[in-house]
Amino acid sequence: MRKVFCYVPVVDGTVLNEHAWGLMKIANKINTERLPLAGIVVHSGLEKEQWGELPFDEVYHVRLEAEQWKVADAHVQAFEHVHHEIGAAQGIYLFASNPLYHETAVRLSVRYGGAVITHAVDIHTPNSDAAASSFTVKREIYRGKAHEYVTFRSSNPTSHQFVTMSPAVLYGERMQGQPSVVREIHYDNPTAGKVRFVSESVIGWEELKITEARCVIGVGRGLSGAGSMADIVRLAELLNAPIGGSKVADELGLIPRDRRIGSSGSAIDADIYIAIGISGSSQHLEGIKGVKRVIAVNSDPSAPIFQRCDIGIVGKFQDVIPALVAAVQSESSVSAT
Amino acid sequence: MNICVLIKPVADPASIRWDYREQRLDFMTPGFNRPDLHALQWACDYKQTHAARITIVTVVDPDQEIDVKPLLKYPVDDCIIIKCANLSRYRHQTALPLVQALKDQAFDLILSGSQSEDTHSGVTPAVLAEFLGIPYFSEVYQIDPASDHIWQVKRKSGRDRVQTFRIDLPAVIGGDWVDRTETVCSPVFRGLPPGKGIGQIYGRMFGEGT
Repeated sequence: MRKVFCYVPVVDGTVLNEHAWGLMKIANKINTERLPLAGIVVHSGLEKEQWGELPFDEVYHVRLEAEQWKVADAHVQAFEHVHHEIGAAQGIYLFASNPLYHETAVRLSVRYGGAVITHAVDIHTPNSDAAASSFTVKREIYRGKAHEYVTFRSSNPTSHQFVTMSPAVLYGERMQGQPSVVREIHYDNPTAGKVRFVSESVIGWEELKITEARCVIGVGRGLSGAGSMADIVRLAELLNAPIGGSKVADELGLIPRDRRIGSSGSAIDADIYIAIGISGSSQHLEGIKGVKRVIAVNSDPSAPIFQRCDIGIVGKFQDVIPALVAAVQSESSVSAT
Repeated sequence: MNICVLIKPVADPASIRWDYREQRLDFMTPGFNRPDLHALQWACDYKQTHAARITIVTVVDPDQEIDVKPLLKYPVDDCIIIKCANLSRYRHQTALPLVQALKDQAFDLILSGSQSEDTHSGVTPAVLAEFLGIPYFSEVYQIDPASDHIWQVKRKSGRDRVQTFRIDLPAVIGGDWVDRTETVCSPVFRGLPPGKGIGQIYGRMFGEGT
């Protein structure tokens, strides 16, 4: 029997996040034929209570060791095992397109003689009566300068169709359901693959790019001639936050050219941006449009940055930053205990 | 170390514009996929310090003309141009003529970018590896030889973490060097190696539908 399958994305093998709900939303959207909706969850430690609440008709879950879970080869083997156990169901298989799942989906498409469309940003179904297999997939091409609309060449409804969805479009609210089938599939011994996980480490603030960091510190004209940046560096170490800055900071030689933030530099999308001694010109604000929370420190209460910030601190950075460092250290020690 | 680098001819995305009068993409300047060129640069850097033989392989439509001179400025040993009909129509099948060309060659390492700059599919290297029965690992930003046949590769995970893996050769590795395009990894042309160059290029024609 034909089904729509979601290969449920799991963060670090242990957490369901908005990508999982986003993929389920896409699955519901294309399931115009009301085919059975099945979730395949390959994880390394999700809590058992979650299985009965997932919004699928059927849930099949497989547990791998944490180190195996990080390798696509183990996912391919686990999928093949599930596929075999549940009776070689054919249909549409939706994956997230991060590297681990992308590799898994493409390799499976070869093994099952199916077709694959990768990095989709949307899926359109022509009308509610159309077969689910006749959907059109929207993709970005030429670095997002154009879109293309593609569809599977084969109209054979028994074929395997794999689609990987760009993580950028996978978001959604947590959903709940009552699956009629919840089945754990034991798979203890994936064959030792030729790729092995070794270790995972955090990139230090000095190497981390300002465009990739969760927290970024920005410095500006206010630091000019103000002496040592030792406290700011200490804050950067504590928060693992790379130091960028405004155009003026670059011109004053406070930061390297590739750390300039703004319309003439990089645009950042950090969770937290700490602007120190930055007035907040329109060009600089353009570069922090994607930031979720802004903390501004400036001695001028009329600085435009205070219109953009979530927390504003009026004062000299030489006074404020040591207090901020002490507060972060104090909070860190509380968290550690 | 016998290294193969897959190079895809693409239209430069930086030059492409939408022609509103003709309602089509225009200003399609031919070039090569930059992530692939970065893979080639990495191979050339490796060759400077280790014994290595580099072969570049590219697949084109029979009526598509490509200028390979920029590729021959790298210190490569061989260049294989595979001509395959209907490539643009059945682009996910690019891996098939590659499999035919590479299956009998003893490459230790096949390098490419993880994705091309035109279609961003990321399918060809993975399919090639699957057909050749060797591992594939994508989005790699650092490669370090651990021993003769085991290499260590690093991939970013999330915003600020790096995962390290060990991979047995032979393998296909897709690089994620695109971020370093304008800075660290811009190609360094070293001139034609003696006795190499255009004479090393030969075409292989595959029938339609391959």
